[in-house]
Amino acid sequence: MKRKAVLLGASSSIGEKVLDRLVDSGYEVLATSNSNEAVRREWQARYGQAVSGAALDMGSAQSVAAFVPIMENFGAPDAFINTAGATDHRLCMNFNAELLSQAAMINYLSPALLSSKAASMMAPRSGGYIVHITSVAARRAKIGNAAYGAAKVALERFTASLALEFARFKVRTLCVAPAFVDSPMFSAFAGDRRREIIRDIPLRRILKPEEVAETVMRFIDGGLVTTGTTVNLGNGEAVF
Amino acid sequence: MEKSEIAAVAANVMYLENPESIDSSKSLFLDYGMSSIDFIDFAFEVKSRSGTGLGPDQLWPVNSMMTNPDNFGGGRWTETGLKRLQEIFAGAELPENPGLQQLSALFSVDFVARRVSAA
Repeated sequence: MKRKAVLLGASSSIGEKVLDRLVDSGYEVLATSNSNEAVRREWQARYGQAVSGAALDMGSAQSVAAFVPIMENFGAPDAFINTAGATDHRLCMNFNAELLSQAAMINYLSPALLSSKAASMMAPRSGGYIVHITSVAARRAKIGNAAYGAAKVALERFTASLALEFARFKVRTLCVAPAFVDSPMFSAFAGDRRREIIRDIPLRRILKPEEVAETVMRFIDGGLVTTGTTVNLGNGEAVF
Repeated sequence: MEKSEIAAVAANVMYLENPESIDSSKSLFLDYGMSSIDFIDFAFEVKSRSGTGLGPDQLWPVNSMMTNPDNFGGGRWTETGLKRLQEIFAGAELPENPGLQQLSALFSVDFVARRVSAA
């Protein structure tokens, strides 16, 4: 029987690479993107029946609630991978309750809820992998990354408890926390300071999305034996 | 499903060495320390082996009943809730307003065998 994976944020740079790898490995994938119909049509054309696309706005409680029956209908996944997330580079003094709630919703609450649901679906048939892409920002406080970093800390902590509660049912969890990844998100953040930022990284390079995808695949294929932990990826930025 | 098989499943999920050490009338929760995770594991295994549709909430419906105002509210069981409890714990002498601890004392291999055979 074909293995099944749920992939959230499949149109992100990391998500795209994970999606490629899942399909190459023979998974049937339920992939989500944030209301981007064109991307889902592109998946259909590229992957055919191996990928079902669904709209999911991680910042909307209604959208998350509407996605649950879609996931139930898809069936218990072997792997649940969350690559969705959104940074909001903003000083603490400029946050209001709505902006802070939105950052928490996208980066913590929605992933936590959906991964709990996925783990509960995996438990009766005993086995599965839960992966969240978090960030080195969870441990490295910087000016402007308070809301994003705090939400990722919360997600890592939540995922650790999820590991303990579902270990009996052979469900493993992992957070993958990359440092800078070569992506539109990084380009937007770096602007014309790209060279300056890379110069400050000990290995003077940034991660490629496929390197993050490789770690995800290694874990869900059983080559990385752990649960409830976070793997930091990077080129020296993540040395504390 | 035989009581000996139920006891074996319980012993396995609680990591007990000898299933025969389980007295079928004693509480798996209170006398043998079955945890909430043990219980879910136990319920899945009983469901799978018995071929019944009894999920965790059906095998031990007390917790979900206590969150339903039709059954329980303000620290007391409603008439509907008490009637349902009497069906679930048929034959047991229940106090006027049984607490969770008192009901947990009734979760035994004998109780599970009755739930499975009635399903």
